[in-house]
Amino acid sequence: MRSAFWRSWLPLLLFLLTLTLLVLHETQALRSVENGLQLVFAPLQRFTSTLVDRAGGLFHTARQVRELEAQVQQLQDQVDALSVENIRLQTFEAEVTQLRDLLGFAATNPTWTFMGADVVGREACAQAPCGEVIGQEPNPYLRYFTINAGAEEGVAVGMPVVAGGAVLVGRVAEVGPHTAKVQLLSDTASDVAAMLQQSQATGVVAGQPDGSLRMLYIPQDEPLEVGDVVLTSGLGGGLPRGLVIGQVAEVYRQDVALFQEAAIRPAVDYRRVGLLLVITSFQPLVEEGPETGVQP
Amino acid sequence: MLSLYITIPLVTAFALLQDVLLSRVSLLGARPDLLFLAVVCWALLRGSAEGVVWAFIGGLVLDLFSGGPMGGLTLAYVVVAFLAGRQWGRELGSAAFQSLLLGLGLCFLFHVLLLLVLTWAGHPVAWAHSLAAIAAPSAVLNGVLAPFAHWVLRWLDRRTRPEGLVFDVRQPRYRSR
Repeated sequence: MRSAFWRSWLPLLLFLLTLTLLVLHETQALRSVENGLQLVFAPLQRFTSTLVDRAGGLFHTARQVRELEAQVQQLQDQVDALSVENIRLQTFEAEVTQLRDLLGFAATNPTWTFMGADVVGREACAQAPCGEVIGQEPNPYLRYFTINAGAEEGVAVGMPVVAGGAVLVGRVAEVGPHTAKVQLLSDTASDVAAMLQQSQATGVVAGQPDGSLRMLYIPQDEPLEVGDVVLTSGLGGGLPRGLVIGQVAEVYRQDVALFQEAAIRPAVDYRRVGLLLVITSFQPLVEEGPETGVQP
Repeated sequence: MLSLYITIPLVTAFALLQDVLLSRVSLLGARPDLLFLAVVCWALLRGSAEGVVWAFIGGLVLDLFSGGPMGGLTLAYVVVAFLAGRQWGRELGSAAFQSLLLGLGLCFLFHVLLLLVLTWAGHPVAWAHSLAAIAAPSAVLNGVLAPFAHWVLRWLDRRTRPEGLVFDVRQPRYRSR
């Protein structure tokens, strides 16, 4: 009798409990409970991730295939590293040109005083928290990573997350004691102030529903070509200037439109990154969290 | 009801596998959802109450790993588990066919609920693209996978059902031998 009573009321009870959870989460009242649960589940998640990765390796039985895969991976890593290095050198070249201009400007204004400022402090992996991706986003409409570095390691909401040297992957959206959730650039709620390396034209790189990136609000009169490198502009203070986002893959230009748009090919494949670097020395100016609207 | 000592580790394992392994898989936009299949098929076999318990536990674990609002996935799983455990469509054919139909329809509803929760939470949602490119293919894939999941869980159902009780597929209620 009592069991039948519970059976009939249990669905409604759990439904109401779930609704309460949703509301409490929005009011941030559940933060400490969530952090406590994450302390329990994060090791389980990591253990399962390791187990799955190792089990996946068993399927590659042919030794030659493994060797070839390793070689391909090695070459791919070299290509990635060289591409990033090439982009960085191009950035330095542009920077040298700018500095020369500034120097000329200073020389022509000898009574003024100038102070050089470096916006971004990139730290080595030994110093900054290196996050390993331990979980993917279970909700198919969101694009987040869970990494194994959190508040205890110095990670805070809004910090930029990079891969492969200087390639921006996303920003920290939520922080637990030893884990953090990283909102990828490809999430539909992600907007990043960006600029084209060649022309210095600015715009906004936004995530699209299909997981691609698109640069919006590029002025019509700015030159825009396939292959142009897209960097963070640092505008708004939410991100450091000069982090690599990707390259222009396709240009959308209409004579009647106010702005141009461009499809961006990310510099790294977000689905395949394993080790990430959180830039902890950068303090975002936007106190209410990243520009994406994600609440801290 | 299946003991919570079995339910919690089992459903947590399903959720962990879903998060770590199956979230990486995408077939033309379709994503297999192990927890959804388990919840729907278990509700089909054991009724709404047990299905909802599985949905609540598994949904909470996945919500912990998600960047979305806490309770969003749980809510969607709880609703589809409740509906799967109702007595609808029992006369349509075999249990496998029923699970296929339920998997198809409820998976689409599950995705609609996810999108509604995201919209409520203020996350930008491209409805047309999301329904056409993710929800519909996922519904087809999980509908096709549902009979297999049902077959596996029916084995578990038989092994864990209390002694002296049998299960009638056409009339899914307990009755004495």
